Amino acid sequence: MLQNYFKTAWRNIRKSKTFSFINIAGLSIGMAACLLILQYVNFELSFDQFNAHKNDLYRVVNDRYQNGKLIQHGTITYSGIGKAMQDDFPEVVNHTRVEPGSGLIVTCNDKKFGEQQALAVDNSFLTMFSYPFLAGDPATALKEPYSAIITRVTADRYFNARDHDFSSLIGKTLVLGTDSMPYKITGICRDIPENSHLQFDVLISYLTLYSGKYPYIQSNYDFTNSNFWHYIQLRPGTDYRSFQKKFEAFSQRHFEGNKISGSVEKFYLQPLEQAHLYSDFEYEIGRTGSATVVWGLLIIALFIIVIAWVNYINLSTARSAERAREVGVRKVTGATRSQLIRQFLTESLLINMIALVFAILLVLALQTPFNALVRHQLSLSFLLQRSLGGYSVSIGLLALILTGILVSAFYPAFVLSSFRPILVLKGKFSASKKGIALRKGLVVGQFAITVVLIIGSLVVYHQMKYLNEQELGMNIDQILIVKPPMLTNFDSSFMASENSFKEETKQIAGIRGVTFANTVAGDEMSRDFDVSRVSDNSGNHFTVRNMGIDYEYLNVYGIKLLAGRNFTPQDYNADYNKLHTVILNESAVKMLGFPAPAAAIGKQIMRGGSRWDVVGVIGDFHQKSLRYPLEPTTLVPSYSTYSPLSIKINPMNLAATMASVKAKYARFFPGNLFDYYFLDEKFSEQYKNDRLFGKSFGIFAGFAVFIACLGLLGLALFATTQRTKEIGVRKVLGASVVQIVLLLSKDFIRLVLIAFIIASPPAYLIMQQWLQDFAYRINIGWWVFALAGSLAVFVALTTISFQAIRAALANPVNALRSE
Amino acid sequence: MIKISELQKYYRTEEVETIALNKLSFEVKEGEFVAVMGPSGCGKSTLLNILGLLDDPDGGSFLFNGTEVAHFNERKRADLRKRNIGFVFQSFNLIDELTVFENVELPLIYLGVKGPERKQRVEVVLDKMQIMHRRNHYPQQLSGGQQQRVAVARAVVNNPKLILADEPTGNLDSSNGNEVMQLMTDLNEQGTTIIMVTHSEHDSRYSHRIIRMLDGQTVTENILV
Repeated sequence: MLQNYFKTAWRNIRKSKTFSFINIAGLSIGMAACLLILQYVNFELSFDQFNAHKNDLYRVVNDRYQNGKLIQHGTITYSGIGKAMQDDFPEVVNHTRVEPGSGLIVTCNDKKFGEQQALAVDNSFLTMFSYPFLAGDPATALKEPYSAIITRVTADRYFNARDHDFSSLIGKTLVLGTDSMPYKITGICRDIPENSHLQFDVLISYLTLYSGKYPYIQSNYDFTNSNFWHYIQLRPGTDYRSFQKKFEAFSQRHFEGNKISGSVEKFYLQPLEQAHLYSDFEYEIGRTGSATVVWGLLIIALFIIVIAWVNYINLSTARSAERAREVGVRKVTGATRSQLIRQFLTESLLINMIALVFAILLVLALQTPFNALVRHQLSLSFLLQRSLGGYSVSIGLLALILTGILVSAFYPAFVLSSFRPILVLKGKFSASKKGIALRKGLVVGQFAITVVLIIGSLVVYHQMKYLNEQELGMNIDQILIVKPPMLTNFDSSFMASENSFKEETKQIAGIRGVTFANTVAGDEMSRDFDVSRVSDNSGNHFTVRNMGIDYEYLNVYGIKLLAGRNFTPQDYNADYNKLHTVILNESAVKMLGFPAPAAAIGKQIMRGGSRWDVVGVIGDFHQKSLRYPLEPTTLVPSYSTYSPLSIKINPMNLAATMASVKAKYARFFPGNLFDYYFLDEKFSEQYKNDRLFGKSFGIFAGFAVFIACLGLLGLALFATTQRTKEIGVRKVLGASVVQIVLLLSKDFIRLVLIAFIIASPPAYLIMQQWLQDFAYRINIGWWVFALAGSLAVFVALTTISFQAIRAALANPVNALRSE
Repeated sequence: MIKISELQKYYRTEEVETIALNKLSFEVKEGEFVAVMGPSGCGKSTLLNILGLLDDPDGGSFLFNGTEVAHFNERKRADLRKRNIGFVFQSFNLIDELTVFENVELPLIYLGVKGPERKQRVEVVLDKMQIMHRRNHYPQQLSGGQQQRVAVARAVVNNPKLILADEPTGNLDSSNGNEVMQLMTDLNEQGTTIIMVTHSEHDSRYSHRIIRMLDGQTVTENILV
């Protein structure tokens, strides 16, 4: 019986080549898009799932309020928080502090390795998180200061120790940055999975921070300096939502309102599983993704596959007249309805299986460009990876495919098997009105989805264009950033040598300007939490961003001076306590209550407990992406060995120019690694999730439109075949080709227009919601809808007219003779 | 074998109700060859649907071998149908995607007959219908007469007690038509009951009895033998 089902199915597929092609092509493309997207979705959802205690691990996050206003929404908090929580609450069974050091230079066996990522952690980190050891004892590895654990790949990099007996590396030493004491290797752990939000090359013992020659006292147990990351482990089964209600009293107990830290502290717990995708926090330590992108793409994937299955339903039921006779014959020869249903299910299964095979081939062909788009090395095996909710994505995919096949197969099977055999066999079959209405409804549904996707793509595209075209208030084009000379000691001669280096570098052909600043565009500036006007007796304290710059900074970046003056060499001093001049941006002027930029010049502000003279006011500039609003900022005249170098260059002869800069850098800052990047590229990295969203939205919306059009083509083909006689009669009576094309197209166009009307309001609401994440955003104008509607009508019309014109041009005599 | 009494069937659309069978009654004995005649729309096809257990009557009784089958459900009807009834149509109604052999095999598949037995039975019947040499051809490669022979082969392959034929020669020339009618007569002589709907007086003369219908009712019955 089954063999007979397959035989008939296969012959039917071969017989109706056009419809089979449309069905299989649509389903293959839909499935391929779905499989590609789900790889990415599953990878993003798999973050931190490898941790054995993932369900009990939480990150402590901290909102800070000043004058009732949120001034910091961060993953950072005070160094005493973890211990205090463990001491206060029996629910907390473990905690670890984490302090990152990024872009470090590690010296090992006289070799230097730049851009190393280190985390200072408590020993408890090793039992809370699952980073298994290859050598060393995790129970004690980080209990002594100056202990270090390296990963397997780091061991290979430092000691050429791949597949080595790693225990022989225990006891060897390395030097981090300019630390005078070497670190002793006490453990080697496996490589960090790509789906770990915490990434590191080296782990060092946290107590190193407050031991040694220059202890960092606040890093131990302190409630005034919010600069530390904390993870806690709750007792299994603890409901973190109800547990965190106790934090209000905790905050009051340790911070006494705003007495201790100068701000009111609110604490929350963020489950480890959410750290990667759901981080809207400042000072993010880990690798973050975007839940919007993940869920958005997932929905698009579902849309695409649903559109493909709807094609199958539409075309199968539209062609029911062709299959009706077969059904009749089978019924009279003894087939029961359930046998017929099974037969049509087999046919659907076969088509879906063929489509799946093509889909897998398509995925294999498209994997490389797709990986380039999402910037991960993904493959089909990622579909089987454990992720959020266990294997929900793999199981969901299987369930989706089965449901899709069954639903798309069952309806046609149900319809086809219900025919009255004798009527059908006598040729008195006519398509049911319900069936026609359903098909129209499904076409409207398909096009409504595609219209939403088209509107979405247009909005994302225009928002991205808008962001790129916005004036930042500074010019970051053609600026190269050279890594700071962090291995040079900051002593009395450092500033002089930096100034000389700049002067000499400026002489190189192709160099237009050189400056040092402790942060560059795109980086998070530090904050001052207690800034006020000296003459202001209201007791108002404000929080502002802060940056240390040299006197070339404003010129190199083209930042406008609105009042007063720029810094001069006389403003600088190697002793930070002797600095007393400050430049404010326009937002800071407003916040501090000066009536105009000029009014601030010559006035004093309190900052860090001392008085600073306002010497200049500059225009606002965007330090970070336009997702974030402008912030009040103070600039101070300070130098640091951690300040990167910004070089404004003429990109012609870049290699030669940079070789000259490198030679000078090596002469002035010997022992440092010379490494550089283009600032505009790095700045635009902030939009990488948005760009990914925009690009994938566009690409997959294209897929959806294509598949929907395939379906429309099939229906148009069917409709013109059905109306062959009518077309013939009309032509004989004098209808023109245009009139015939219009006749055949108008029904479909009406459906597309209905779809457009249905889709526009939800599309508007969804995209409006998406735009809320941007401090600077476009208004969704009427033209977006007009364009989307026209596009939908245009593609539909093009698709249909392909078939309609052919029918209209056919010789009417043939059509009438066949009757 | 078949006894219908007061059989009724209506067709309803939104505005009109059409009476297809109006309290129709007659009996067909086992081994009879009955022709049903009448103008278009008189209810012949509806009658054939009901007799073939393809449709429900709206009223009356239908005894098949002494069992009341008028209100059998779809499953029971299909089961009874596939074991006892074979159909022959004017337009042959072979499945284009299946070969001659596969078309004839179809009823046996639905009857659950095993592969080797199916093969044997199909070959026997193809041989009998003299179309064995065409076994691997598709319907569209055959002449009308050959197609109808295949259809007859398909109707008889499961040895049905009853054959319902709906204008079996309507699409054939006279020589092919006569051949088919001869086949039917042979089958009848071997014991198969035949009920044939026809417009052809010529064909009706092959039967034992003619039932003439008008407006869903029997008007006359002529016994020929």
